Amino acid sequence: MDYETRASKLIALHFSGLITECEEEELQNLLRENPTTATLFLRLREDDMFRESYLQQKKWDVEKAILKFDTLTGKKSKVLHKRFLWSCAAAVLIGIWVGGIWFVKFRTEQIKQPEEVLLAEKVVPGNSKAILKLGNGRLISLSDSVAGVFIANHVDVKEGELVYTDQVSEGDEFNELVLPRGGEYRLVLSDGTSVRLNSGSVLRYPVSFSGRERTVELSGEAFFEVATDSLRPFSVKTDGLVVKAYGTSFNINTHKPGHVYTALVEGCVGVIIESSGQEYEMTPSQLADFNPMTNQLEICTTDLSPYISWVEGRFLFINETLEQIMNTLSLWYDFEVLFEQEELRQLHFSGSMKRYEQVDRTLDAISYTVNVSMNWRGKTLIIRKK
Amino acid sequence: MGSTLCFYIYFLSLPLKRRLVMNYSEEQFILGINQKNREVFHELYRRFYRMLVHFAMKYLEDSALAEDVVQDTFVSLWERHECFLSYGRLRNFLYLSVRNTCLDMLKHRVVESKYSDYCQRMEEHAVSATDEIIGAEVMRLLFQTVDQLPPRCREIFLLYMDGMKNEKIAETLQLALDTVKNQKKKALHILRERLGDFYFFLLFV
Repeated sequence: MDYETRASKLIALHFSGLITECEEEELQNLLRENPTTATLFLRLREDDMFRESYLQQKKWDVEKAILKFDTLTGKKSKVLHKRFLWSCAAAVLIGIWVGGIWFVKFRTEQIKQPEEVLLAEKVVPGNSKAILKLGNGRLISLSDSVAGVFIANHVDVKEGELVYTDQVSEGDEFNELVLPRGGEYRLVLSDGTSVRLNSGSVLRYPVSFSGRERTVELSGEAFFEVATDSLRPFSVKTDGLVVKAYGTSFNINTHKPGHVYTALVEGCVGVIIESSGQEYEMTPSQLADFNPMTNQLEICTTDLSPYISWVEGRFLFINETLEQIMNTLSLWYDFEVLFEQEELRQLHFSGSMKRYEQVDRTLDAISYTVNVSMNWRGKTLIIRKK
Repeated sequence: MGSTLCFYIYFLSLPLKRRLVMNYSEEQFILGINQKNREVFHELYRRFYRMLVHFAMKYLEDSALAEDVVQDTFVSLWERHECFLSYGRLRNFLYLSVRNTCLDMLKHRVVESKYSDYCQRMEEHAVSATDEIIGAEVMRLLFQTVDQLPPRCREIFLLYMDGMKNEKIAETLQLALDTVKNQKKKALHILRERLGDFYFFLLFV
């Protein structure tokens, strides 16, 4: 962020009284280093014309100015048009010929282009992609562009989503959905349960649930909205832990080594430690933290938003280590991280960002706040002390 | 041939229509400005026009003239073949162009006294162009967020920003003290959300 942007935002926060302690400290440092800005700051503070200035500037009619702008610039282009009428006509004819062919061929890509022009950098946010492994071992690569492709009678491929329909089947066929780094995908199981899978995850599930239980296996992170069926409980098996649900929504994450996080949003689930068979009941807004190495389980009531914000398209970090934040980001944006000094891993941050935004904006904000520099070498991010 | 042309123009217009969402990201915004997209220019007007006129007024003290200067700046931006690399540079360009035009006008004015007055004032405050931009941006950011408050919240917040205490605001607007407190809290909440968006990360040591 450039100096003017930074300074004006900090000062605006200060005047509205919304500034946090850290921001205030940053502002004071900034003013100490830039005496002229400090003078300006004092002048603005003495100013008690805020209301008056606000009402005054409201008098300028923007929409009228826009109309005027349109006539001013529109006229000029007409003159230009007359002057170059013939060359334009020729160009248009050639354009129709070339462009017509081009559009018919690449129409779909062309429509998406405006949003993506600037995303053509090396590190981009993740998107809908996954690999489907069928019971017979066949692999199918799924992305947005394969929507509507036929795979089997009971599967519908939609945009970023796979939908199974219920049907009686002989034998238990299992499918596996594999999410690469930088991928996400939605899945509707044959019983109507919806699953959102995050990057770097694998879900193994039967094509249709035949027995008295509905069981799926997960490694990685997924958000479940279980379809109610009191006769057949729904279970998710992970590393040493089984989460049993009856009709509820919850998030499971096994990405952090030594932790299986289960965050319960709605309903009721039981978590069962596989080795001992012991079952613990969870109520909404509780988080279960299971350590598969020591078989220890802790359940506490806490703010779940950091665990489920990804479902709403945001990252939310509350007092997380830089290492953990980088793990999460690197999984979604698919890049590698290298810490030049080990102690940098333990810096703590809080913050929130949009999942579909460029990663550089967040990195800028982090490196600005603490004194670290971040540089790209190919797809590896090198973090070092300044 | 005619139908081919219509067909072609129709598809050509599709990607443009997609772009006409008001919530541009900074990158899309800059791209739009560099490509001379009219809708993005209209958005540029909505974001900067008022503050630029306000800014020009400080030099010229003549509203019609100030509006003309700002209008000319936008038009010349439309006609220039300049590529901006960031939102910050575009913003600085706008403020600096307006500032330079204003200073030129003052220099050429028959009434030289105003300019010398101005110089004197500037020396007193020792304000550089950078700090002038910051000063205007502070106001623009606050004004823009105030614009989004519901009317009653807005009135209370404006008085609060002028340094008025809750009791005084309640008296002036003839409202209950609790109402003022609640509305102020609401306003600050909305503002935090808006301003906070610029500022994601804070350090917890």
